Amino acid sequence: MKRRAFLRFATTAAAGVLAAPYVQAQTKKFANVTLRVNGFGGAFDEALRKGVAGPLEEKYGLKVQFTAGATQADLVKLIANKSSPPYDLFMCDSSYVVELLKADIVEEIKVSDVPNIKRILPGFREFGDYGVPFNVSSVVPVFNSKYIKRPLTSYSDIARSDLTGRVILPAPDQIASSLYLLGMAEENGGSISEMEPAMKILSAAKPNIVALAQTNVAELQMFQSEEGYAGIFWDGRAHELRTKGIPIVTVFPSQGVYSTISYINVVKGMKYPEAAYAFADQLLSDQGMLAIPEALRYGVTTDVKLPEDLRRDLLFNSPERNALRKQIDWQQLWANRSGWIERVNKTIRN
Amino acid sequence: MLALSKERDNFVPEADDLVVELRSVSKYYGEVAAVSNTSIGVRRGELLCLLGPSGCGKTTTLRMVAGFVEPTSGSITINGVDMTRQPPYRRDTGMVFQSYALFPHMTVAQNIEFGLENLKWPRDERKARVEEMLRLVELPHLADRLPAQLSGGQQQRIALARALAMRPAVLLLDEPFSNLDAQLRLRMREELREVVRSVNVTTLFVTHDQEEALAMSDRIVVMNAGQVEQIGTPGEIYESPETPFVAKFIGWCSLLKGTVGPDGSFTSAAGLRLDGNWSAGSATAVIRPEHVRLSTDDASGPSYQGRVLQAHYYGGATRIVLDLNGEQLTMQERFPFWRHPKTGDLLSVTISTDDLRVIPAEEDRR
Amino acid sequence: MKQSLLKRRSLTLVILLTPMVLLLAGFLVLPVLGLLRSSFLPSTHLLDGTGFSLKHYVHFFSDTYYSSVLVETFVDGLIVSLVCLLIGFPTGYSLARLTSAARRWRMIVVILPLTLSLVVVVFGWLIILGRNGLLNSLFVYLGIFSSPKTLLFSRPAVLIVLVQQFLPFMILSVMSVVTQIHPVLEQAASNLRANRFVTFRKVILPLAVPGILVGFNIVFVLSISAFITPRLIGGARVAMLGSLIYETIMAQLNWPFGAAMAFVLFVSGLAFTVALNALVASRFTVRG
Repeated sequence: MKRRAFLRFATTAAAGVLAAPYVQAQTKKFANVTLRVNGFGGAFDEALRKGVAGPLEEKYGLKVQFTAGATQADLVKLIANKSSPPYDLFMCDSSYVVELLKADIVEEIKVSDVPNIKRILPGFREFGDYGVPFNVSSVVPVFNSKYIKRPLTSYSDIARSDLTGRVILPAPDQIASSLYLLGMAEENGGSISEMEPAMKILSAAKPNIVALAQTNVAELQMFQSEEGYAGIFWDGRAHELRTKGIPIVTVFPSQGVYSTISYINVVKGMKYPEAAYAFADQLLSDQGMLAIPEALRYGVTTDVKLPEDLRRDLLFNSPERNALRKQIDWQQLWANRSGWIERVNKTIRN
Repeated sequence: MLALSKERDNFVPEADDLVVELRSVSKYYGEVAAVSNTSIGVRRGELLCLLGPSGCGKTTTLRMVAGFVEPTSGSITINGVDMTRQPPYRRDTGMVFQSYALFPHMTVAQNIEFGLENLKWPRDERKARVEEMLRLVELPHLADRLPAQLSGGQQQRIALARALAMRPAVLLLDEPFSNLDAQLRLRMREELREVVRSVNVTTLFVTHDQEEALAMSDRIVVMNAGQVEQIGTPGEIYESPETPFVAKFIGWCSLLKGTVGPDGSFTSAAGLRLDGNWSAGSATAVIRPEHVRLSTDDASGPSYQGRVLQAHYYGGATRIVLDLNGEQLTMQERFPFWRHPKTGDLLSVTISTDDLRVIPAEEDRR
Repeated sequence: MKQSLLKRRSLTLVILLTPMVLLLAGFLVLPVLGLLRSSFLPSTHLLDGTGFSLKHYVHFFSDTYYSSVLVETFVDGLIVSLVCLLIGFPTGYSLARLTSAARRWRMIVVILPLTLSLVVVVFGWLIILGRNGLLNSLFVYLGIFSSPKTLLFSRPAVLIVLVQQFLPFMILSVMSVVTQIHPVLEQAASNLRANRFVTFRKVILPLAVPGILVGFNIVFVLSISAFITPRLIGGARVAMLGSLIYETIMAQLNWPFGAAMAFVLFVSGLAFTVALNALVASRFTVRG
């Protein structure tokens, strides 16, 4: 090597070495940031770690910490610690967003902050600019095809006389219960403010009901151990039962499906809005959006193209079906719910 | 000396009128015999005492009579009825426990009434009997007290009243004075005797205290290692023990091993010679303190020189252990205080052989 | 002299009791007072608002549903306590009459279930009582059932599981009191012509009453406040106040009403046990 050439090489090399940290800092712009998110636990959090948190750390050095817990308890914690919130992002279903808004502890998220918001399907942002919907879970009638030969077609079918002592329902304090009650009301001419038809169906179904499951895991076990052959359950859980070899059929009620949407919310006063937006954007990207359906077969909220195996399994897999997803007035549902729980308790127990 | 009761000399229990009879009774705990092949009869109206060191089987025997322990073999009859396999509550016995076992949640009156209730006595008869028993033990003012509010002596009297209230065929007493202090023990002994005599109840009584046994009993059963050593009146037991064990256990004595020669005189292993007319062969001489006297001029028989090994002053008398030609003997004498013997002193003594017991070796069966 | 000794003694007493009193005051009395206060809030949501209202109590007592659940809860508590007593007394009694060496491993068997998490115990029962569970398989195999039956989600199932959970408390309290009753008293009774039954009724039982009461109170209070077992085993069809309170607070977020129910349960439970104890004490303590 000639001296000149060497000098030129050395200068370039030195410049490169000096510039390296700067370049690093440019790409890993959230290197020292950790987002604290309440988790739902289990496979759900795992899917988000893989499809959302993993890519974010790779791209930005952003760390995401999920703390699994019961949403109810986490919500109480958040409301009780407004000044120093224990979470940066709060993940919850539609019903709890009502509480978040009432407590005034979450920020709006606009499409200007999170470009992928424009990909969200119509009707999925139930609370205006609050919360980013990333997943939809539906409460549907299900039955075990090994024992039940006449398929169920609606929520009200749980009162069918051939199902005596065979039906399992989520307990009244579960949000799933409020949804199927609403379904039974609206299938029979009632509405969110006129629940009498639903209570009539429930009274008629009383001899059918084996148990009211207090938790999803308990209900899963009941179907698995064949304590009952028909009932109402979450679509993703029905799929889980199928993977365990139980021939559970998911019914798409022809008059409409009642679902709850999972949102990610930015907690007021959190320190890294930019990181939060990056999280939301990744969540709404193809990779992020398909993570949960791939793991749990709960539905998507964007125009992402569904691979064939997912399209076959998911409840909402066509524009026609999407149109049958009922819009729910969560504020009113949340306000009326106590009365419904009391009514169900009295109906079932006496 | 021990005061033997004489006031009941007019009472002679019939030898063949047995209230309780144990025939060849044994009790084994695994390989260990607590009682082996024991036969005892309790005569109507008598006060029979089971006497022996702890672990001799006397308490086990009493508990077999009460029904708390089931014999391994043999039979037990009460008033002629076989009770061997009957539960305690079918047996006509009344027991006073060592710890009295009064029911702490019942008053004195309720305790006494308990057995009568179970016997289905009518209420007014029960009440009358309770009053009668309280008068008998001289504690009518304590009827409504709880056992915890009573002294040890009072508790014992109530326990006695409770047992006697049922008019049992036999009264069983398990070491009844062992929980009382020495002074109270003497008084209670007298009282108990009086009460038992006044109601004329057949009594089987267990104690390890030979003085108690001698003072109270009509007859004594001396037990050792699960077997009967001797049965007899206090006088018989004391004066003519049939085994060295009985001799040693009852009263204070020295046992000299030796032989009886053809002339009927006894020579101990160390060479002490006692003249007499016993049957020849190896034998054991039982020498009690009262047999040994200081030599006096008018004393009959030979005089021996003894060296004082120990001298213990007991208020009234002095107990002295003497070395006589290599044999140790105990004697008891009153000395003026200026002549009080000391260790090493030489004393001249005579041994009265008139009522001296020499036990032939073949009678020493065990 | 005597005065100062007394003073020193009472000072020692104060020092010994202080930590306990502080602990109870801080973690029991204060929260209970907080509970009492929140039960009078007019709101029906979390701990919102201020003010004073009796509406939650009125709601509870004017709706026969809630009062009937309260009564049912008490009946359940009584049944569980009585069954525990019936099973626990012979067990506790026989344990007390063993030598301490023979008692040791049996005690471990009695205490072991208490060391397990309640959730583990309840899921164990779900497996045993399930439609494809141990008991159903056994009964079908033995021909007692022609096909598996639903054993779970019923009142008897809840009561059985509660009995299993709380039985050790009864066994332990009976055992500890029976060890204080000297066996010679039983022999004395037997000598006084009392058969086993009379001995039990007139001697053992009255003397064991303090232990039975302690066991009964513990089991009763634990039973009426149970909520996990009725929720999971009863499948929400079995009404017990504990699970209603849980539901009201956790699912409906109606803290004031939950607090009111909790307070009603607290006061009525306390009143019931005090009354029971007074009754039994007057019946079994010595007359005269």
